[in-house]
Amino acid sequence: MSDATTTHLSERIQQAVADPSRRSALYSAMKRGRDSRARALAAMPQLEHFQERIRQIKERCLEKQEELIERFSEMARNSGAQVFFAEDGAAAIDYILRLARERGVKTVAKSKSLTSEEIEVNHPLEAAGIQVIETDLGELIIQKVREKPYHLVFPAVHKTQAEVADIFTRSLGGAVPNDIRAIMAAVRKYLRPIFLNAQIGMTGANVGIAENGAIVIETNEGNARLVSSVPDLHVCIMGIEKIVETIDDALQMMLAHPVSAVGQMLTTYVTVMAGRCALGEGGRGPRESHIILLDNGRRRMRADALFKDALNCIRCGACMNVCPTYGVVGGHTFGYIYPGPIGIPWTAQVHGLDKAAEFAPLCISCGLCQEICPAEIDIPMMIAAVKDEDRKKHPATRVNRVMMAAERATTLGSTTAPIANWLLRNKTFRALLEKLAGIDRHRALPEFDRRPFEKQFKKRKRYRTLSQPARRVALFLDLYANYNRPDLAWTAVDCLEERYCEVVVPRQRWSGYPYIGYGDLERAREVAQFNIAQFAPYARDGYDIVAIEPTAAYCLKKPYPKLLERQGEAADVAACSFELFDYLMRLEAQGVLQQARRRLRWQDASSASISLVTSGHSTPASRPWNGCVASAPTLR
Amino acid sequence: MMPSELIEMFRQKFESLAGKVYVVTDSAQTIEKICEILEEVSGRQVALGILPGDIREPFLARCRQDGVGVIAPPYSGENLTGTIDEANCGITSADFAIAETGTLVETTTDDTVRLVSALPRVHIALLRAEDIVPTLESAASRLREAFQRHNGACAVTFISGPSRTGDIEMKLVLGVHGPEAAHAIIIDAGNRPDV
Repeated sequence: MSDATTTHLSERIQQAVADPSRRSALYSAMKRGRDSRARALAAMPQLEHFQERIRQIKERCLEKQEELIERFSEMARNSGAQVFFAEDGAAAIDYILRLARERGVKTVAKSKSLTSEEIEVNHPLEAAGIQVIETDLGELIIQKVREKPYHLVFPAVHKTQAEVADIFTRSLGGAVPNDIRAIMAAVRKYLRPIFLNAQIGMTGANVGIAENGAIVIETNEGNARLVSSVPDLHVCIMGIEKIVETIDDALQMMLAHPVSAVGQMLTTYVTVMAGRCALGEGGRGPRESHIILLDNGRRRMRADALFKDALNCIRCGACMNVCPTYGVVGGHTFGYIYPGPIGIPWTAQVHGLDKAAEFAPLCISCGLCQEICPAEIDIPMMIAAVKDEDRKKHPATRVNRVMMAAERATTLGSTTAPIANWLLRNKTFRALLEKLAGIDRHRALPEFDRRPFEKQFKKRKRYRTLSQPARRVALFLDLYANYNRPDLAWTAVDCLEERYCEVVVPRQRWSGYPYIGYGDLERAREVAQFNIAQFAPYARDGYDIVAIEPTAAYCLKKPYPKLLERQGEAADVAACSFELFDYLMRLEAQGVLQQARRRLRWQDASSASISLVTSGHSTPASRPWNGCVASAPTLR
Repeated sequence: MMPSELIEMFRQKFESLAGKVYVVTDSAQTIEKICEILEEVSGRQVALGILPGDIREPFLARCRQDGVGVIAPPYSGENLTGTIDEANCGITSADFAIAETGTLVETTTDDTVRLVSALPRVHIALLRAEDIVPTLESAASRLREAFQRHNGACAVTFISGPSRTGDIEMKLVLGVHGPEAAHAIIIDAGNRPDV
C-alpha cells in the first residue's frame, strides 16, 4: 500500500462514515444476518457439524475438479444443454454477444448472478444496443442508479425506502409513492412484460451437479424461475468451482447458502434444471440452454497452495456480517465488485492485486471471518498474503513499519523504562511520535517495566516443586505480559501452579502477529520458525503450550503451521497450544483443581489486553472449549 | 416417522414460511377446498398444472358451473405465457414434499407447468400425504429418480412458501414477482374413516 493509496482510502473512509443512515442500515442488516444464523444453528440439531460438512464437500470436489468439470459437461450436453468453457470474462462476453447478435436479441432479463458481475457482462451488452434488466429487486435498485452492490446478499441495503421510491419514480416512469406495497406493485408491473418478452434469460448458478449435469438456482423472490423458464434462450454463467459431485452434495449446498446467509433453511425457490424443457406445444421457437463455465483465474487459484482456499467460498456473505471495519464503511469502500473480507482474495485473483490493495488495508486481522465461514476458509491468511504481495511492490506505510517494529520498540522501551515512560507521558513527545511515526497522540500506550518477566522468572527464588504435576505447561508470553505488565504473567503462573501445573518459560520471541496483520510474511515466517523451534521439544515432551495473549494462541494454532507448511513440528505445537483462560477453564472442567482461587481479576486482564485477535467466546484458537467458557460466565 | 407426524411437521414449517396448509381426505374435499380458496381470493381465472384425473375432471366441471375460467394442459400456441399470466391462481400437484424444511417439490419436463406456480398471485399445490419425506437428505433418492426417469430435459422446483424479498430496509414483503400466497392441500387418504 503506497502512501497515495492510503490517502485515497482515508478519503473514501471519511465519505463512508459521513453518512449515518447508511451505517445504521448496514449495521441492522449485518446484525440480522448474524442473529438469524446463530438462531438457526442453535435451533436445528441437523445442522450440527455444519461447517465441517460443507468444508469436506468443497474440499473433495475441488480435489477432483477437472474430473467433475468433464462429467458435468458431458451430462449437461446429454440432457440437451450446450456447454461453453470460457477462460476469462472476455471469452464469456464474446460468446454471449455472438448468441445475442445471431438471435437478434433486444432484451436480456437477468436474475442475480455475482459471477456475471465479476466479468461485468452488462456493459458490453448495453454497448451493443441490448437492454439488460436486473430482476432481483436489490440488484434492480442499484442498476437504476449505476452502483455496485453494497453487500453480497443485500446489494441495496444502503438505500432507504424513500430513496428507493425516488429511484423508481425517476426510472420506471410514473410516480412511485414511498410505501413498501406500492413499490412492490410498481416493480411487479414494470418487470412482468420484461419476464414475458425478453429473448434471453440470464442466470448464474449456485451449484452445478456433475452427477446429472444439472444447475441449481436459488432465489427468494422467484425471479430466477421466470428468467429460466419463459425466454427461449437461457444463458447461465457459472464459476467452475461451483460444481459438486453428487445430488447429495448439492442438497447440502442448498442448505448451506441460506442458513449461513440469513438463517433460513432453504431458499424459497430452488430450481434444479437439466437441459432445456419445452414450453408447451408449438411455442415461439427452439428452446436452448447455454451454460458458460468460467475459469477467469480459478484454475490458477486452485494451483496456489494458499489462494486455493478462496475457491471454497459459497458466496453466503456471512464474513461481511461479522467484519468490524466492513460494518463501518460498507461495500463501496470495502470492496471492488466482491465486497467484504472474502472480497480481498477474490479481487486480488480475478481483478488484480492493485484493485484488492485499495481496500485490503481495511482488514484489521481479527479473524472473525474465518470463524463464521461455513467452509472454514482461512480468509485472514489470504488477506495477509495480499498485503504481503502489495508491500513487495510498494513499501509499507510508515505507521505499519512502526507497528511491525513493536518487538524492537518494546525491548528498547523496557531497557530504558524510566525515560521511555516519562517520554510517553510527555505531550511534546507524543506530538512528535504522531508526526514521525503516525501513532495518534490520544492513543493510550502501555508503560514499560524495567524488569521483563522472562528475567524475573529466571531469577525466581521460590520454586513450587510438584512431585507429580497434574499438567506441565510451557508459557508463551508475547510482548505485553513480558515487558509491560510482568505482574499479569506472574498471576498466570500462580493460577497454573495453584492448579498443580508445572510451569516453564522457554526462550521465545513475540508472536509476530503484526507481521501477518500488516503483510510481511517473510518476517512472520522467521519469528514462527524461531518460536516453533523453541516450543516443539516441549510439545514432544507432553507439555501444554499456554499463551497469555489470545492473539498469540491464535498464532500458534493457525498461522504458524500455515507459514511453515512443510514442518510437522508446527502442527505438533498447534495441537497442544491453548489460550490461558480456555486452558484454566478446561482444567476446571476436568476437575484437576481442588482449591481454585481466582486471583487473576478478569477486569485486569481484559483492559490490559492489547490483543489483535478478538477474544469472543469462540476465538478460533478456543473453539474446542466453547462449552466450558459458556458455563463460566464469571470469567467472561 | 408416522404419516401424521410428517404432515404436522410439514404444516408447522410451511406455515412458518407464510404458507397455508389444509388436510383433506379425498378428491371431493380437495375440490371443495380449492373452491373455498378461490372464493377467498376472488380467483376468476385459473391455470392448471398436471393434476390427478380424479380431481381434474370434476374440478373442470365445477369451474364451468361456477363460471370460473380455466386454462389447462396441454398448453399450446404462441402466447401461452401471456395466457398463464392472466390467471390469478395456479394449481399444481407436487411430486413430493420435505417435512423438515416445509418444501413442496415439483418435477416437470414442460416449463409451462413451472409458470403455473410462478406467474399467478396465488398458488395452490396438491400433495399426497404419502409423498412427504422427512428430511432434505431423504429427498436425494427421489430427486435422483426424477432425473433418471426423464433422462433428458427436466426441471425440479423446491417451493418453500410464497415469493419473498427483504431487499428494501430488510422489510419482509411477500409476492414481489411470484405468488404472494402459497396454499398446500394435503390429501391424506389413509385418514379416511371408511378406509
